[in-house]
Amino acid sequence: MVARKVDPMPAWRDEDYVKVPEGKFKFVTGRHAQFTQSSTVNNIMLLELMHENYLWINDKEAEKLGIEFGDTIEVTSRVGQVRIKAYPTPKIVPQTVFYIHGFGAKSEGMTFAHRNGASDNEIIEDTIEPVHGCANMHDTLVTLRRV
Amino acid sequence: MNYAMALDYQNCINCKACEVACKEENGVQLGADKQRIWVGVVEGTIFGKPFANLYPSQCNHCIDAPCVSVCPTNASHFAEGGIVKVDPHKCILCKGCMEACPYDARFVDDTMVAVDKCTFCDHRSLEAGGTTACQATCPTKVRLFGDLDDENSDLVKLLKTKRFFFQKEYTNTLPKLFYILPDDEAYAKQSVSHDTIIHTWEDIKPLYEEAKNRRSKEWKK
Repeated sequence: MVARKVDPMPAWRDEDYVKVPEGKFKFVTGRHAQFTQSSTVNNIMLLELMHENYLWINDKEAEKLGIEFGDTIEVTSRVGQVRIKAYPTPKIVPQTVFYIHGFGAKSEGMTFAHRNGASDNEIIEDTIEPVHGCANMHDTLVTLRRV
Repeated sequence: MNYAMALDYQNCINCKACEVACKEENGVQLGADKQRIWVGVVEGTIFGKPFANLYPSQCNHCIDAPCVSVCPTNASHFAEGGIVKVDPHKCILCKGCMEACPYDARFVDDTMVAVDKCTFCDHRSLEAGGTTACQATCPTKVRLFGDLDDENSDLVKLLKTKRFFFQKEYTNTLPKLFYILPDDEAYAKQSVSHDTIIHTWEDIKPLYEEAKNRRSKEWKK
């Protein structure tokens, strides 16, 4: 690993950290306790608990941008674009936006889950972590636009 | 028999498995506003720092239940062990019980054309070794169903070692959901209001025994 210039033990490298420029946001994703992978996407009992996902954005930043709860937001990254409703909240730090993974199914066969909210896979850039080979899910920079 | 439930609410992770299990077990009507049980979420900020407190809840099966007193047709009644139930055949949908309930634990089930509510899963929890669907499914073991009269039950053993409080105690309905106060003082202060009265089993036992003796004549066998 050293020969390939990869740290055998995890070490912090400042140059690898994706800094967020002014006017852009870092997109992070995550899961709820209710949904497990794709097998539960179309489950009506679970969709009753939460039937679409919302874009979390820091409430003070949202106020500056004039974004209110329920506004449709266009989220654009280098690789894709989605539309999703906004949820301003103090629970998230500034310069970061978040929505839950596992929504916005493209397939029309997903009769209950078809296009309920937005899918994170459509905007996450395809970069790979060199040690364990997973995708870097939280390194995508996005811009927001109120529609 | 005096059935009750203790809730170790600090363990709740808001996964809502209890809500889904309740609907599956009891065939409750689908719909987000048709809930026999629910997880109450209190969100806010203190000096800019966000917090969320979770209070899993359901019908409190109060000993002095206002929903039973107000029912004009005796559809709302006390079943075995003080469990408050609704007889859907007698219900005329006047909705007086929904107004009377301090916990908003009742709703109209359109498929039965009657008011519906939590039954403590009495079709399965009263058997030996049985319990409610919400307790059985909870991944963090928040709920504990048991008998207040049985000094050797897990419920009474737990209540003897912990302090607890009730939701909306000022309504004087003698609710039977015991919210277990967290051992950690700092967390306990964050999740309980200044007005909430903290109880121990010694100070609450005579009150509940007296109330049970007063009302248990109405309990159906």
